[in-house]
Amino acid sequence: MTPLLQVEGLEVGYETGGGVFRRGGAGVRAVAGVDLALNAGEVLALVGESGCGKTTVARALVGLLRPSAGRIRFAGRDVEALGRDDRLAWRRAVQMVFQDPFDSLNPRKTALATLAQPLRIHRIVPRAELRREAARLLDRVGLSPGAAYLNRYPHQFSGGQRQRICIARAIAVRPQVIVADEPVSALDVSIRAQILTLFQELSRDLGLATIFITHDLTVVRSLSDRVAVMYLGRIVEEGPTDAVFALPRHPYTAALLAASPIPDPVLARRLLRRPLGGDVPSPADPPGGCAFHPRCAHAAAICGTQRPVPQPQPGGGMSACHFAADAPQWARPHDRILEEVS
Amino acid sequence: MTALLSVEGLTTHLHTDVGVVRAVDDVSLAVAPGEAVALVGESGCGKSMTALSMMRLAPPAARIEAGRVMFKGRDLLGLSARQMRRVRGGEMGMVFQDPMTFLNPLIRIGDQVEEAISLHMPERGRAAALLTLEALRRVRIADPEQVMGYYPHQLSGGMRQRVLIAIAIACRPSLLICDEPTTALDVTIQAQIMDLLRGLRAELGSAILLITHDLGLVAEYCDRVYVMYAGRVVEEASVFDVFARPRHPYTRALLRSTLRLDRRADGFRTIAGQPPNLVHPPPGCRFHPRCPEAFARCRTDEPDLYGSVGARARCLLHAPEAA
Ligand SMILES: Nc1ncnc2c1ncn2[C@@H]1O[C@H](COP(=O)(O)OP(=O)(O)OP(=O)(O)O)[C@@H](O)[C@H]1O
Ligand SMILES: Nc1ncnc2c1ncn2[C@@H]1O[C@H](COP(=O)(O)OP(=O)(O)OP(=O)(O)O)[C@@H](O)[C@H]1O
Ligand SMILES: [Mg+2]
Ligand SMILES: [Mg+2]
Repeated sequence: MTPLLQVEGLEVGYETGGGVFRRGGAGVRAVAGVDLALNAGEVLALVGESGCGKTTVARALVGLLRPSAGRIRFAGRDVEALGRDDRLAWRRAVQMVFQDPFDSLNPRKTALATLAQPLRIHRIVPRAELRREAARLLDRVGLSPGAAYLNRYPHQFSGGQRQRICIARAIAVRPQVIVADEPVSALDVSIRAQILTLFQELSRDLGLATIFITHDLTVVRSLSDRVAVMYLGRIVEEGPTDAVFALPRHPYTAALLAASPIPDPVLARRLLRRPLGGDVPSPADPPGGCAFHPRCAHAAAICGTQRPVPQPQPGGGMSACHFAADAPQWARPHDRILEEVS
Repeated sequence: MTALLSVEGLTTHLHTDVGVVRAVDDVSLAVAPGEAVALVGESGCGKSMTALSMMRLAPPAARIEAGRVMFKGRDLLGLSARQMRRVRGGEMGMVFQDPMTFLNPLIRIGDQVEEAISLHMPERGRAAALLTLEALRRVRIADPEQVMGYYPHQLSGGMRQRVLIAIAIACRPSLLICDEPTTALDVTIQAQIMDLLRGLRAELGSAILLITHDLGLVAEYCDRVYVMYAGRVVEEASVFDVFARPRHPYTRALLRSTLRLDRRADGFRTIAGQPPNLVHPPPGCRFHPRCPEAFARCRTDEPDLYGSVGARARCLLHAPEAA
């Protein structure tokens, strides 16, 4: 099966003065070679330390940033090679939802105006139908009856309601893929649960594929089918969510899982924690070999000299660690720790 | 228990163009020396306003209508602005969610930390610079000599937050108030910072009041919990009790909506209904419109905190006559 969206060797740089990668210039290679595949109807979680390049990947996927190397294929076709019409179809098929619902809506536009714009640009419905379609979209995201909300401005909605409008705008053009960048981080537990339920329904009912960026591993566990873990511009581990949580095969994934708080005071006090030391290295000056080696408790000499190549793993995932095969010894998977103590 | 901090009947109203927001309504809480106490509750329930009122940092629209904030035997609400400045950042440290609101983008890190310290310590010149270095070292900033010369934008979010903590703990406070100190950070940096706070308690015997949404953090790092709803404390309990035997239906709902790492949830649980309006709060129990266990009297009678100090809930199910 051809994946719906496929990324190969994606690189994206930012200029920081001297121009991207120009000799003597101070370019930052924020994304340094990422491979990803997303199938129809699948939820892929993208996690990783702050500054590792998640948002940059997302913006490249929806065409807001131009890659400096690599290929993005949509339904098997290289998006760089698309003609004008096909390009428009791709931009329509892949939609983004941003982290902050306060910044991403125009304060002077009503919900109707916000939704009507993409409907018109992509000629989704005839003009006479705009109002009814916008109301239907609001109903779909749980603002019902939608017609009652059409004439409200952003400041008349709560944070959770605004995020629903952003999602309504994204699904207005009937996309096949949603790229959501921390869509629930700014929301409270209860409202967060409502939005997560909405994402779940959209993938189940409309067959939408989703790339979901988050810091919250409990959300990853319950929402996603697959998870990709990024570190300093590269994917270091990828695989089926349940398999990765049961036995992470990259020490950075293991560190992330070990650092996630457990909402159970009895268990939490019986776990021995060793927080990961050090800070994220700068993408402007990445360490040689494996980028994680300066912080890795299991690093050996080879880790400082040779960059590990991603290798397929038992369980259907892949890991870019020289010692992935030893994972059962060092990974301390949560499930197992919890079994031991309970 | 001799409390280090004891807040009694604190009431803060915000005067806005939509009316008077009852952000903090008769809140009482206590923190013993060396204790870690959590203040939890949904967005907008008044957690930050409680902390800001205690420190006399509430916004201009806020008016403290009633209450006492006893800290080391003095009522902070009765101190002069000058005396209060000496308490803040000295015996009482603070760390807030967004470090950039407290760091000046145009001043080097070393100078900012040094200035904050010199407000409370007699050291000047080289001695003050050494204290600054020690403070940055204590929060495990690698290469502190170099970092002292940096401007805030040259630090990652986690490093900025550690700089703020360095300032807060430099004067060895007996109480540290942390309002969502790690919400914007990823879990590995969060773990580093929480570990640092734990070390501070062990090393200096400081107490911590932690404001957070994250019940995982509460479970791991706190001894006792206050749960707020719509401007009021609705439950106080030990951390073990609150997770094992939550007394208030709101606390139960909050715990049910918490996701776990060790298993996939079969659905995302929400708390039914809308968060309350703090201008016109519901009569009776403020949670009754959303409470699955509400009965007729909940709509009319305002519940008291029932139980004993440290183990009580503001819910008629726990009223003595109901038992
Ligand atoms: N406009 C920009 N100019 C220069 N550098 C940038 C720019 N935007 C991002 N970067 C750098 O690129 C890297 C990746 O940033 P990105 O925003 O993609 O990270 P992220 O994984 O989304 O982080 P977070 O979890 O904090 O949102 C970081 O080192 C960041 O400092
Ligand atoms: N400057 C202000 N002017 C008017 N109302 C305010 C102001 N700041 C806060 N409020 C209101 O006061 C109430 C309590 O707010 P507070 O910031 O204490 O909530 P919180 O519990 O800290 O929420 P969060 O978890 O979102 O930080 C809210 O209803 C809020 O809308
Ligand atoms: Mg980002
Ligand atoms: Mg707050």
